[in-house]
Amino acid sequence: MNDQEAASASDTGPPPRAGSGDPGEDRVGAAVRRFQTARGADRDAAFRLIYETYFRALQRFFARRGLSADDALDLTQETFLGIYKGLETYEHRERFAAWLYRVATTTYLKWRRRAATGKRSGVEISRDAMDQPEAIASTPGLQLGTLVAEERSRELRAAVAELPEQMRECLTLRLYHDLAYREIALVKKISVETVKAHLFRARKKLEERLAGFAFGDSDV
Amino acid sequence: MSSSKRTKDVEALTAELAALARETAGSGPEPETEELLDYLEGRLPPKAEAALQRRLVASPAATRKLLDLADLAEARTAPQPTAGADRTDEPADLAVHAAWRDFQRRRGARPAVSRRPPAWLAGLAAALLLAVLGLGSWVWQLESRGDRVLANLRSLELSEATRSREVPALALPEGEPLRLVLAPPERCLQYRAELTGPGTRRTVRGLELDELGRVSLLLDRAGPGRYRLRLSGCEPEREISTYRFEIVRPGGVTS
Repeated sequence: MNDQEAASASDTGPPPRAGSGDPGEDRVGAAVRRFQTARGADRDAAFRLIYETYFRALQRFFARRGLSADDALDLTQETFLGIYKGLETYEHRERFAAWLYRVATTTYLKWRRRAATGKRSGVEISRDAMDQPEAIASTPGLQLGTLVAEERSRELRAAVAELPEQMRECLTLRLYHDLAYREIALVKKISVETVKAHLFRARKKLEERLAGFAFGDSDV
Repeated sequence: MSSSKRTKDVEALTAELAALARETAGSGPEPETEELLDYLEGRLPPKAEAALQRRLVASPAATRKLLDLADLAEARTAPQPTAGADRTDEPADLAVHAAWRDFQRRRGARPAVSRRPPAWLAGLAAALLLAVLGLGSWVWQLESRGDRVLANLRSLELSEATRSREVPALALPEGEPLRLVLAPPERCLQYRAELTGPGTRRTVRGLELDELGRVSLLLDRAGPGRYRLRLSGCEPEREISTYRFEIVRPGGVTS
């Protein structure tokens, strides 16, 4: 998570004012308004609809950040507590999904701050590891290997530049972002079949262009 | 896909792709949430959409944010046939139902009263206070029991390890439901579970994997004895796995 995202999510309130809400009044929009006006059982029923609508999505939100099942469930519940508190004064200025994302992100950042205490030794280890490449480069026996790697890198760069843009972007999303076909299709706004075709052709082109280049079975 | 298993070539290729993506996208701020939602809803002009797509390809953080937002937006439009309903007989909803009960407890909410008594009943209510208190205490006990059963539902995890060699046994008090959690060795869109046990044969269709790759189903009023659960699924449908387990009564013996 970058600084800007962290800064924008550092506070869930004050909730948005009235204005450009979601188009139309669907069941969630109706539930939000019912929650804000009703009392007792009606209010609980309205919130339950919101809860059941977003429970799985929020659980996945935290699971995607590498949290254990227990932690993901715990943070999902914490997020819903935040939603419950903020919903009363939510005024539809921004889209509901954006507001939910902000509440979930805030919950996650708070959790990360709590979890970060006592982990400074991990940072020290990372710094030691960062010093190592310099030491390796200064070792004469390893310089030839570095030259070979640089040559290979030049070849790769040229081969990558030759790939058509769509194909290259699908490959980037697959390898660099580690996305599933369905997710690539969503980001690129193309069908899953097109994603598969792009990746298949990219793989073929690179294997033809670069001698001895081999993808793993699960790479693309 | 695990990046640790990648060859050096693929690692180098990934680095080149990332560098080129950053170069193509140029420098700029990360996309705003509203901009990403506009992108998902197709509200951006073609030029802005293409530029944003390049920024997404260059930034895993922005892409992850887009996928999170897409997931939240999709949840809103997905069918929710059980929303707000008290349907504990649907295995697929069990986890959400139990979580909702847990959430209510965390919020410290008492069960809501749907209607306030009319004013003219106030005198009568006062006269009946003792009776109401007695009844209230009884209702509260019933509700507490319901919460306990749903939220702290007993679970039995049946994994690969328990498939053939071991037959896990669980002490289950009479009348308590049991949640069976399976970890199928093969991913299918939907599964069918056939449960056979003492005096029971039950088929549950339409089971789906949760986000942890598990399938849950509810077994209510399970008598003591040995059970066999056959899980099938995928296209064409085939047997995925068979699990065995045993239910015993606390302090009792298996029938």
